[in-house]
Amino acid sequence: MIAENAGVASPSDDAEGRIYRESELARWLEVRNGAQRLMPINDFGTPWPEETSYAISDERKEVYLTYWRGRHSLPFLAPSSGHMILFRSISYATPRAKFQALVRQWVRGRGQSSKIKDLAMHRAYQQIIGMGEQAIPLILEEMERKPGHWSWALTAISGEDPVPPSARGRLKETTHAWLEWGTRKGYR
Amino acid sequence: MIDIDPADFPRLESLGYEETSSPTDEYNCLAFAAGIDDEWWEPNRGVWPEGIGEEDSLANLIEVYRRYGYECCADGKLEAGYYKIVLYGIEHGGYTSYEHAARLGNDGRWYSKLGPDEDIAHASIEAVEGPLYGRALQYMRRAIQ
Repeated sequence: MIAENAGVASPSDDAEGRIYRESELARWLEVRNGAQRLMPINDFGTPWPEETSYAISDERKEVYLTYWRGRHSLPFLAPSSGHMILFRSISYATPRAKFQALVRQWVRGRGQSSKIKDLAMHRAYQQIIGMGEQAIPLILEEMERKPGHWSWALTAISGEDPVPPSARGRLKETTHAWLEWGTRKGYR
Repeated sequence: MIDIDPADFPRLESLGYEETSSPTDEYNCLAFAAGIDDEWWEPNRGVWPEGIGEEDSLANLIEVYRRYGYECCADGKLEAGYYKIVLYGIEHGGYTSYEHAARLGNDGRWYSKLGPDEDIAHASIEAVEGPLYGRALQYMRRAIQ
């Protein structure tokens, strides 16, 4: 059984604000007697991708680190049994800060599929949907700034679809339809 | 600069490519292959001709291109009087999904739009083959009018 943890590990996610490196991942996982600490050891050149997430298998004593950019899960062995692995969850000061961080993760990590249905399955995009109604004005603001594939999220959150069939797949028209909808609904 | 994951495109770096545009969500590879740069083609949520099935099958995509005047052909060689495209897909048992399309340029290189990222030029069809786009499975051509 794999326990999915809320939160995403980030390069600066420790009390000292250190920047960890991708090659240190296995060494990160060392823990001591439940004290739950991270132990960076060496410095290598590759940054840890911001969108890396993780899950812990209690039975197998493995930690699964998921690189959403590549959609690959890589198992790393926990060094001893009975220990917890601590990753501090990121907390965001505001919904806007959370939204902006998730947008960055999505744009960086969504990959090169030709299908919106694949792009929308990215964890960060799903987390934006999970923000619920508070994400709607932020999405509309983002759409106005830079049109993109936000129809899926807006429809998932609101249950509505103001885009006429003739406008589907045409980003300018789709964006226009959603912005008008947002104005009518009082979101902007 | 495009962020290529070698797990998705294991041969792209070694076979070589050149970026030819900025990234945009405005169009995808399917529209781009047909010379259209302001549409995203996809069943259910993008441009998709009426009367064609809404599964993401290679067979449905071939029908879409037929609507735009393309016909299946044997190869991806330059041929006077024709535009050519190649369709990539993944076979899942008895079902083949489309995953990508590229067009042949007059310079003999292939031109691809990589999802919401940049357009690229690549000398070989195989350059974008891999776990994400599958294999080149069908060539099509359209007479230049």
